[in-house]
Amino acid sequence: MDQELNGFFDRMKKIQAIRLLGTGMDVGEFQEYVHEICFLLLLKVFRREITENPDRARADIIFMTQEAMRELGLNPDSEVSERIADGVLWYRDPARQEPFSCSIYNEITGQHEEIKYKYLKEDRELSQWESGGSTVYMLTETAQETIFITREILEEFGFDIEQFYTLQLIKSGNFNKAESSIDNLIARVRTLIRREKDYKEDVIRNPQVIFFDKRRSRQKSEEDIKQQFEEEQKVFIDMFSWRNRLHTFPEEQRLDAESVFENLERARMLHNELARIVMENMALEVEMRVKYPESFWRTSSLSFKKDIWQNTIVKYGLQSFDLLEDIINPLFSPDIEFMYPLDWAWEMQVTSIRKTDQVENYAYDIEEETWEEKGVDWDLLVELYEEIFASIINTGCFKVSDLNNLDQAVKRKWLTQKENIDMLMMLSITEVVLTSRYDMVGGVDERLELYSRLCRKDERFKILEGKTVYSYLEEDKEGIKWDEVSMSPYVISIQ
Amino acid sequence: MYVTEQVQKGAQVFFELLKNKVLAADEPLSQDYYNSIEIREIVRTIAHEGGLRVFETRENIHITSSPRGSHFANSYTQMKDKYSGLERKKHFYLANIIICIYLSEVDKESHVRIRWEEEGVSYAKLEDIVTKTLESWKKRQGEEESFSKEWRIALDQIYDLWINEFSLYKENRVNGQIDVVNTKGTRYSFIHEALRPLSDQRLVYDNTKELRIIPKNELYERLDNLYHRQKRYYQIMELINSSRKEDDNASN
Repeated sequence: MDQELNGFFDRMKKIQAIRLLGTGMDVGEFQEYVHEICFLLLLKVFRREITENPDRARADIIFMTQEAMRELGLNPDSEVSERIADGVLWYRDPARQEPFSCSIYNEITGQHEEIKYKYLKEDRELSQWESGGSTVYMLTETAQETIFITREILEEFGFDIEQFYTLQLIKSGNFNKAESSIDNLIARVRTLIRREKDYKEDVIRNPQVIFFDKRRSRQKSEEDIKQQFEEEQKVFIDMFSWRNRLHTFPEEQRLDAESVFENLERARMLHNELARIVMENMALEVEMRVKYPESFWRTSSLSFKKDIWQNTIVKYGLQSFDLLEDIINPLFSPDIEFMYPLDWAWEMQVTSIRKTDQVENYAYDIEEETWEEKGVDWDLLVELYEEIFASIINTGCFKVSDLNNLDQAVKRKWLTQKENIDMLMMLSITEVVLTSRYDMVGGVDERLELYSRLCRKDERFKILEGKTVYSYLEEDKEGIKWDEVSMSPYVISIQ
Repeated sequence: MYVTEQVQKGAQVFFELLKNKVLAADEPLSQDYYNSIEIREIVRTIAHEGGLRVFETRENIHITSSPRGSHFANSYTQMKDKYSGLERKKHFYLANIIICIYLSEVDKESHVRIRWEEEGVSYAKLEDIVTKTLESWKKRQGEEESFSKEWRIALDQIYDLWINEFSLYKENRVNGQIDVVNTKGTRYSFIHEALRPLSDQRLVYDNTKELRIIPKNELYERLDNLYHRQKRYYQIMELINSSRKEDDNASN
């Protein structure tokens, strides 16, 4: 048999149950809405059932139909509502009181089969026929399924009612049914948890959603909600108390029951989780109100769309298209990653030493240059920095301002390649932990390259191994201001 | 006077910002910024000196170019440089229009645009709005005398570029899909190009497979800060109006 056909018959039964609801009757101008009315009617009957309200006779059902129509904004007509009530109770001619029927292909027998079902059936417990009472109706499993299939989307009932319903099933030893009801319970808690998490995210993004929150009634205080969770906890305890009475059930039911209670335990854990998140969210609301009151008053109704673009620029144009640039440019962060990593600092500190290698083309097209390609004179760097690191070892620091005391010949050496000054900037700007076991795989860090070269040249530098180099600005001191180079009076030190 | 430690921290925040453009509020370094007025002042002062602006939201600290101009290049000014030649100026203008239209499409009242993941704008929709905007300008240009001369001349060129020179899109030769990345001279590929400063700075996701450009929270934070505040709005209006007056005076 084709895989697709697996379970086809059973699934079609559910589909037909939804499809045929509200068909088979003529309600004139309400034809268009009859499906809605019928579904709402089923929900109403179901609610009365689980709240143990016995007012579910035909007269009550007609009344509920009128109620449903009113709620759907339709003008209830007594004749029509009667016809609709009957149309849910019975298929086609109400006088014949026949169940709904349709033909469905059964993949097992290979034949089309006639199926019959009803949405409402007699509640045997409550229908007091003997004492002359009228029939009390309740939902059939088919109708319940119709509600359950759609409930995760619509969530007609609160958690408490689902829970209560499960309790009733456990009480009556109906573990088979309780099993699927707990599944619903779990699915429902999950949905609520997901929703709370979304809400948390939303509040952080925009605290004003607190006012637009439709999840909880705004009137409910924290106390109310706590109490509600406590009550729900109690129902769980109630349900679990039935676990002790398991031995009173026959053997085969006990197995089902065990699995029911296992799942129930999961549901309880999830419920605790939900309670925690809800409480957290309430605390978050308070925090937002206290910490960011301005985000609640901010009522500026200005927008780029309306005020700047549509009502100004689109309408009247601009003096010149160049003006758009002033409007857009502030959106962007400075980009420094296209240049050599420290060039921004270089740019700020050094003005004219590098005239030729300015980025001229559109930066996307520029391939990153590597240090090696630039042909750095490492010997020179090591020579110049030997002094600096020696000073760090001897006095604990090196002052950039001391470079001002150099004689002209050494200054010229400093200026022969820009990397000499770059290195100084690199050491000044971010901290680095010195290690001579420098590994290229971990990324290129020229400071460590320099340090390992220094160590190779002279053992005494190894004393700095593992030390952190950091810097601070020297107060009341001039930085270096050589012809083409200027730099703030950093002090490079170790920790 | 600030103590050295504050200056250091402030500089550290500033450099981190330069490197990353946006700092999440929950980073330890950001906490120093949020918790100390002095550090905030230091960071803003350093930024100000570089023609930059630093502002914070509940979630992030941002660094952007100042409306008065900045010493720093950014992905947008680079696009400008690319189209700096007289011949190609119209490309830059067109890109600006596309950016504005995109911003205007994703710009929503703050309380209705929480799920920014759902606010993506498709290439097709954007293309349609750009076309309609240009056509409407062109039409009004023929009917009324409301636009400046400079605007009218530029618009003719932009219009011609978009409507006549560009084809709608090209398909990839290998898989037959619409390709906006490796093609040139089409409206779609130019949209991709025009919004690249935004996607490069990770303010939007340019989903070139599904042909939809999805705004990110960071973009909204900047929109809020830049265009939704009264003060900034008046500055922009002032900018727009003063240039008009200059023109009026010149022609009188």
